[in-house]
Amino acid sequence: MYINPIYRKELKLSTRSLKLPIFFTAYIIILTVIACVACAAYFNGYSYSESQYAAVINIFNCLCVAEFAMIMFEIPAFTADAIAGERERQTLDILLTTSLKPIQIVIGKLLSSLSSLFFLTFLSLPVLGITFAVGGIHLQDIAQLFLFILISMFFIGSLGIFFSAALKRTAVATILSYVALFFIIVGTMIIILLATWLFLLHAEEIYQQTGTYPDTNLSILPMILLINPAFTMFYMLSDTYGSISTLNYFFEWCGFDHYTFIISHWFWISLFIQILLGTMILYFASKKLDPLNKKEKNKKKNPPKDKI
Amino acid sequence: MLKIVDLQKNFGSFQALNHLNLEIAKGELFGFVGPNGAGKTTTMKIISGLMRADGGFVTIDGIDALHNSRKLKEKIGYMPDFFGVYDNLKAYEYMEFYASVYGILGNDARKLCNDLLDLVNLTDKADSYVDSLSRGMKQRLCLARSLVHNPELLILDEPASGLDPRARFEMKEILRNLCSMGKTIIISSHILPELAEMCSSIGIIEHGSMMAYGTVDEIQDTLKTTKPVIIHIADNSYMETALKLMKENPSVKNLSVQDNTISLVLKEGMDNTNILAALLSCLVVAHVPVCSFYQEEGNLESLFMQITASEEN
Repeated sequence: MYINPIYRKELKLSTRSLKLPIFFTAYIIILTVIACVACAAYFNGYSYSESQYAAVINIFNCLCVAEFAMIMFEIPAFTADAIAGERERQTLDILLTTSLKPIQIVIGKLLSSLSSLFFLTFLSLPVLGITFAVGGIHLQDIAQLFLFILISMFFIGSLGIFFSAALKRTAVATILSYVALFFIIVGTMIIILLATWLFLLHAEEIYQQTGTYPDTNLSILPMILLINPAFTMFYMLSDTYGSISTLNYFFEWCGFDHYTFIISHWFWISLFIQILLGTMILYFASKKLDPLNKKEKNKKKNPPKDKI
Repeated sequence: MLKIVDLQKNFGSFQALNHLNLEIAKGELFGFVGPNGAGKTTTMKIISGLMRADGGFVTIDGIDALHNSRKLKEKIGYMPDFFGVYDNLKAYEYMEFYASVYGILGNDARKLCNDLLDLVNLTDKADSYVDSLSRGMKQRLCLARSLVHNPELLILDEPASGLDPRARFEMKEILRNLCSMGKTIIISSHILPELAEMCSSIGIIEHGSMMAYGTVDEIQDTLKTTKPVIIHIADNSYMETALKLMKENPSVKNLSVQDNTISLVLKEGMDNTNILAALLSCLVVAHVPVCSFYQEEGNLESLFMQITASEEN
């Protein structure tokens, strides 16, 4: 079976370093502490099983958010040094002179960075298993969570790999990866809030002229949230556990409620867009890595045969 | 094997390669010489597909290298001037990794890596971690790595830099060995006497242009320079007499003195045995105790200095 040589080598190297076991242990300890605190908070005072189901769902949501936040926070650190690190170690030139294509290097690096992180989601299973003790959480919910985390990791990870391929220094690539992550998670929300604020200013003028407030309409702007994994996660958790009305109110308030197809398939559309963007970003990363990628300004004529 | 025609490369306003021309036959060991910034590494990187050329043509085995770099990577083994290694990989794993890059896996890879480690005398270090190897060993390992896909052309950018004399000698032996296997090798180095001794042809590059190309003797002939005459005087008290005689001789262009040795450069066209015999007899007649008198063989270092100095002027 063909295994990307870069991926195989990176796995070998990472299993020999102490970094991963320490990181895995810290991750599980933090998640366990969060689970314990959540259990203490939500189970406290409940005596009826019906109420306990609600508590389990809250704990599950809490763990999902904690797991997602920790993994998202770690992705730039794991991916940004993947290629920039090779460049700093002066091993990249050698790789580029081999028969490996830049896209193979990029994919191998992404796979190796993400496989360690995806392993974390499996490590978290025993902690998530707490929620199975009472019931109310289904296996498909866990599967959906894993799928969501995997695809979000791919999307955010591809950004880290892009900066790693495009920039010479790991530190700069890491900072820009975090900036990009911040923009995707928080920046898109800020854009929606700013647009709403501007609309309200505009609405105030209309109110003064006509005496009536217009309905909020941000047009298709809320679609920007399709690239926001945090928002999609909120959608996923709300959709699964019956609090979707909050989101529906948000869409209605934004004037986006008539895009019913997008709203009802938000989760899958968001995943699709993340895969698409991630793939495009990886393609551009491979172009950045290719030393011969620059377009020739003047197309060269064929060499005269007597000269060659 | 390799033909470079009018190769050009600019970095902004700086012209790194200025219509560089070069031709290397199969099985040749070609020494690439030039001062820092002359364009050696740039040329090597362009041939290896690590840099885009701004103009000109490079063909390897008749294939256009600038536009078929993927195809040519199978034919080229490249060793950069500065390179790193992966920590936490053993020497044989390092080799197996690069073998796997070329699709060589399992027993084939193991056998190939053992053979290559043997070729560079690193069999006993196969189980050592790469970062624990000395610089000379790392250089040899990198050379072995560049051979995993059995390339026809080896491009070695200063493979002997920073090595101690023993490691340099070992590297030289390995390169000769590879040449005898039919590999074409391009090697750049600042250690000129070694290059002159080892290489079948030399190219001197300056400001991105090939200033001279051929064997050391051919370059000397092309430049019409005379080989210096070295005279050792047994007794220093005769040095003044010897210098006076030499300065008065109309065939002497210039001379330099170091301890009890006089180095003469003859005027153009005066480089013949009669003149040499006349010079020696002149000294002997004056009772100067000459203990050795010979014309120096082709010296790459002096040629290099002459060519680069004339360019500077």
